Amino acid sequence: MKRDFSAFAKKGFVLLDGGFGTELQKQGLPGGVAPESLNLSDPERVKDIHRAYARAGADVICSNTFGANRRKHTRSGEAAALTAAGVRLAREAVGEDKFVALDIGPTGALTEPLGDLSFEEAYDVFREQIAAAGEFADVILIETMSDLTELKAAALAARENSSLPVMCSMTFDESGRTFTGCSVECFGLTASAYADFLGINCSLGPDKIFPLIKRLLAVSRVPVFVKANAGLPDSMMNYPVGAEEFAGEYGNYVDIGVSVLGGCCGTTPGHIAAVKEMLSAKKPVKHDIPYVSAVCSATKTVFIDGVRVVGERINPTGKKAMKEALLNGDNAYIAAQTLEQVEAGADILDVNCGLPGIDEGEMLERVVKFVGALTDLPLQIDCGKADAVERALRAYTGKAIVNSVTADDESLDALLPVVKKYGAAVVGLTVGREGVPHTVDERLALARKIVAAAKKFGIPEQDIFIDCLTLTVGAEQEQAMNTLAAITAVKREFDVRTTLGVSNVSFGLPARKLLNTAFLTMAMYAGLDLPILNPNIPENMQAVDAFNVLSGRDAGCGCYAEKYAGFKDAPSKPLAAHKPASEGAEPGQGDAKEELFYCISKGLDRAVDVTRAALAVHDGLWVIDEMLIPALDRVGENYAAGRIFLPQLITSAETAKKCFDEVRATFADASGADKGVIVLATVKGDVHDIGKNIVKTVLENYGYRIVDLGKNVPPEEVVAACERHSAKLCGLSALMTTTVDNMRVTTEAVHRACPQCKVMVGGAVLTAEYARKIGADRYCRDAAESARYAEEIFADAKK
Amino acid sequence: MRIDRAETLRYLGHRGQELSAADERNFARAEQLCLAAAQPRTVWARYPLDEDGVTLSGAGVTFRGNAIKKHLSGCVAAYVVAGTLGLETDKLIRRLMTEDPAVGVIADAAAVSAIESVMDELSSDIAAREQGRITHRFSCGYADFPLEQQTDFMRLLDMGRKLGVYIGANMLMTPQKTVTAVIGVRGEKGVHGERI
Repeated sequence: MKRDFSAFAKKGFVLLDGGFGTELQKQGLPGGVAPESLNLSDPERVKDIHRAYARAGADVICSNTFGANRRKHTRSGEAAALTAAGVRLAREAVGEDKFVALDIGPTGALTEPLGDLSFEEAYDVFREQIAAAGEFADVILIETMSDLTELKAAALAARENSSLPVMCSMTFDESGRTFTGCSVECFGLTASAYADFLGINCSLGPDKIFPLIKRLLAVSRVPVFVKANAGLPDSMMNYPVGAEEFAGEYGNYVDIGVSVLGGCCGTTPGHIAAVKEMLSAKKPVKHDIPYVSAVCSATKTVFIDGVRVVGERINPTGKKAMKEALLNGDNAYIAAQTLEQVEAGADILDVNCGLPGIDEGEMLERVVKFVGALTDLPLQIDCGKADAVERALRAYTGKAIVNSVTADDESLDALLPVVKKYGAAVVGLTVGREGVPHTVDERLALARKIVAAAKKFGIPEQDIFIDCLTLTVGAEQEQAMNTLAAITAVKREFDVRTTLGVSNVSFGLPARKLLNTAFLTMAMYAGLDLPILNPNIPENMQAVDAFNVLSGRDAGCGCYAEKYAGFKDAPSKPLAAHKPASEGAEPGQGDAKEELFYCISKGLDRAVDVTRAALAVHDGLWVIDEMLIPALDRVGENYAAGRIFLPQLITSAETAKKCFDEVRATFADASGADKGVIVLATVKGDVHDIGKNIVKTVLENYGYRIVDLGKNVPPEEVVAACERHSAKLCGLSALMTTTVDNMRVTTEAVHRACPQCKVMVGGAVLTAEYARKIGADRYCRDAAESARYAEEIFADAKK
Repeated sequence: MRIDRAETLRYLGHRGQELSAADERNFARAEQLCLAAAQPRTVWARYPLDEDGVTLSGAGVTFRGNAIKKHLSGCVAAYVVAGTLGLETDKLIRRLMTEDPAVGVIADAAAVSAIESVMDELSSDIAAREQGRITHRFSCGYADFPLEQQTDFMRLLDMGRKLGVYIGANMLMTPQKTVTAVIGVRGEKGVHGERI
């Protein structure tokens, strides 16, 4: 008979077992020995503990497989063998009377981008464990996670490779954050999509977890469970909370609607027996799933309980620079656009990679990962293709928004299952097969269709954001009011949120900002929650801030007063000419070359003015070749001679970059100023990339276009980039002795596939001799050296 | 926890070059951001040493290599210690390297000074407990003390749960500003080899 854990849990309380590793340690297991290794070396001891918990009254016995993954047990097949043995022992110990949970803990590694574990590898590690458990388990318990990406990998591996119910639990500090910065809310909002139960375990005692469980109950869409420690241990690893006290505390959990309970570190069969006793006098309290409209990244939650601004700038449509940045992999431009919108106050960032002739899924995944690593703002995946959206959602940790479905069956049937699977929110565009609606009623009917379809797939109203469609007022004047009336009507009929791209309204008319801000204000008054706009235009954010005051949301006008305390209505006078710098001797005003060198070497913004003045009399290439490059070369010489040190070199390079940007603006074709492409990467296995980033900054400022592949880059990816860009130079860095061998492998691979491409290498443990030994073309001890080598390579290439 | 400007400058390869007002501002900003982001945590465990001088008694762990053997010679016990500044420091440096690389490299160096000061404080506490009879810190990866033994530190100190330290396939730890080390406890004079 197949035991149905979900059905059992619906009927009443579920009691999980208690601490396992701490029980073993109490019996003298040495700290250096992994508990799961006993599954093969001392199975009777494992079974004894299981039996003790069964006798204490636990309904669920968790297998001794917490650390039985191949990141911790690296010998081939070892992890699977330990897992298989672990679940088998649990079943043998307690027979068919109890449920057996396959217990899965973290790999011990950190996922990308901060760590070296890719999502795919994490998924595969857990998939292997789940497969190894076979038929013995009734439920999968993923616990003690601190990294939401790793949790998602484990939960998806469970969902996609097993039909068993899934329980997911993370471990938090008292403030409700994990070590990676994931909050209780981010966990609840994100993981509700992947689990049948969400919980909190370990780290804290029952008193300290209680407020966190309340927070989890406030956002979770599935039942909640708890596995607290028996308090915080002293230095001799004694846990202070006794069985009676523990059970007493758990009574409070039952009263607020928690019906699945167990123990973690320091709890014993005695604790579990006491909880059993406490439960016998209680009845489960029903907890209703809360209505919460919110989205999140792994570390930041945005509740849609007022106007929330969606930044629209990461979108190539009609933006030549963004288009080129996406096609060329110019991450610096995308980074600048991201950070600028964050700075301007956007709450959510839209990411759109809609370009003809590309693999949109591949690009969307890449850009979502890149932007997601730069900012903690939640993202909106702007794409209507189900396969591309799925790739992006899989790569994104958090609760994203999918923008968008239309009220067309084909769109709804393709996208909504993906939205549901990954627990995203979704924008529903009120456009049907018949095209753009014109009346309020038509829009409302389309919204009705979208909401009904979403509910059919299990997507609640709070995750649906209806877009009533902005049309151009210059062409169809009456449509502006229809859009606004539709927003009000949709909000009246449904508990959905609304979104709207604002700026289309003014297309073709002068002074577009005027119309846009007026329309934005009217739309917010009509019930718009999520305007999609350019947050870098101050008037847009000002309209939102003013609306929040007038609508009473900005209580006491506090935010407004703080932000606009020094605000001046009239544009300020042109800035007075810069004063000469007070440091050091000033060169004569007549010598522009000297002056530019001086400004760059001191990191003065006036360098831009000097560049501009030079551009008035010379062409751009002359300014680069005769002024900027010589100035940078002298900075490099000063660095080599020890007259300046690292931060000063970088300050100079950053200043030079501003000058280059000034020159580039004068070129009709922006690529005219590019001196060539250089591919940079920190080799596979290495996550220390500060040296590579310094080299990148300096080379960029010499005018090279840098294809930065990041860190922990496999050799094939380096080769592919060198081939794609026909690069003449590739720079590799490695910090640790353990990873320099990957540098040799990568160097050889590049030389084999791209004979025209030179390879320069650098990093703390490298020497010129080692560089020669692994076949690199040049060892560069610092960033200035790599710039000199690049000059050599590209000068030769010109000839 | 503190950041020593002179030490930070040394890590950055400073050899007396004049600092401009802008440099001073960059240093001040980097130091302030570093101190605000750091969440220093430490953990330690004390073990008697077996007769061989490199086996932690009852822990199932033996240190390998001549360097650590020499380091612990004359010791009767050893502390296994670890400290970290936490992931927010990694995130800060990463962000600064995009936003303002000059401040980013300074922050990276300042964070090294910060974690060293955290470990120094821990060493002082241990010295006080042991009446000053301790060796300096010795970390795996130095000389012939194999980096692979990082996994023993992870397990002995439960570093994942207690510190939020993760370990990569190449034994590199994240957060990057994390230190593990062994500190030896010498026997009392004249009672060489006696257990404490």
